[in-house]
Amino acid sequence: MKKTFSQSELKEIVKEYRPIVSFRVRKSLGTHIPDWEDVVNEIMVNTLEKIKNGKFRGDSSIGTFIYTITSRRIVDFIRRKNKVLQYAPEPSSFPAPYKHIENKERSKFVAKYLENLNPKYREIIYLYYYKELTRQEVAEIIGIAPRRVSERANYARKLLKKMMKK
Amino acid sequence: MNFKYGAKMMKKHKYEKLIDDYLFGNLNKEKKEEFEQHYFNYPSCFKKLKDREEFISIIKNTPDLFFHDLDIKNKSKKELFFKRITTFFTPRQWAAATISTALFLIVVFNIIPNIKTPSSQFSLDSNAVRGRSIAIISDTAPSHLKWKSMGENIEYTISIYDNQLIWEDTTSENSISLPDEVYAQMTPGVKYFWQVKAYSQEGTLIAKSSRTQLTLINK
Repeated sequence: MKKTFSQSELKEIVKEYRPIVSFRVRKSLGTHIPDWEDVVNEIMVNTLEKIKNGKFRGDSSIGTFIYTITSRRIVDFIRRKNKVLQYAPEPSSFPAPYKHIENKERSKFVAKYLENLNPKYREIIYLYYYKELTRQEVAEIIGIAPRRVSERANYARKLLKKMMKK
Repeated sequence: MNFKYGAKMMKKHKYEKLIDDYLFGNLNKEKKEEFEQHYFNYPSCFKKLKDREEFISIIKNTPDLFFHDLDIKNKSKKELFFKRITTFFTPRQWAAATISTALFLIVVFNIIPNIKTPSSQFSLDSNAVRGRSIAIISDTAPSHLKWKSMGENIEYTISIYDNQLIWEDTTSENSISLPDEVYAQMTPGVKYFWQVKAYSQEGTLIAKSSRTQLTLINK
């Protein structure tokens, strides 16, 4: 059965899904690919066209529908690039490099609160998020069970969030 | 229009646990696709993912702001290993371990040596009748050797060794004189050992002494 959307609903879809599609594309292609924003635009246009043409029948959720379009477009993009380049584009290390952090003030703001965290939580953040050690490796260094690494990391983030909200 | 699709009711915890692994690229293909499909359907989960990404970006790109004074950053592997050992137990467990070790050392260095002296105690082996022991009464350099009687109808075998057996004899008494020719062979200052074994009438070993040191000071 064909599912119809009003103009405002289509706008809502774009508003809701553009950041999600952008994230997925950036994660898959890497931010060093200058075309990534074009790919996002193509996906959004393609999505709206398909919806208008009645290709979205509501069998799956709108999220899954857009996810499928996004995944196919990413695969197409990589294939096309592979034909041009000898090697496939390698996604950059994730998260994005320093040049993509626009707001240094945000870092200073977080740092101010992070300094107040108990060293045992900062150690976890340093080893787990900054050094990207596995839970097992962090557990061995700190001397706690691997399960506790996740717990402590979660708690550290929650504490930080709580402090920043005050 | 409702795009949320009841996200709050979903198994958000299952996917929330995968956020770090997803961002660090630790998920296999199937898990990755499942996770991606999830956040496409649940914007609230996507927000968490986005927040986490931002958090990690900040941490990774400006580490000097966050970790400049952190001890663990400057510690060598050896120090970290030591820390791991010291934090292996809680303070209470360390206290218990210390007390246990102290008790163990007291037993090993005080009680056990005291049990072994005097050295003339008989020790029972698996062939011997348990609960029965005899004590050697003779001191070093004796002209005759004596031990505690184990009753009647017992035959004792007495042996003297240096590095190997130099003399052996049997008696039903609880003492024996050292023959002159054996005594003549023994050199003052050299360590000899002697041992007594007790046999029943049937020839079964009942008990035996430990090898007791014997040294002649003068002849």
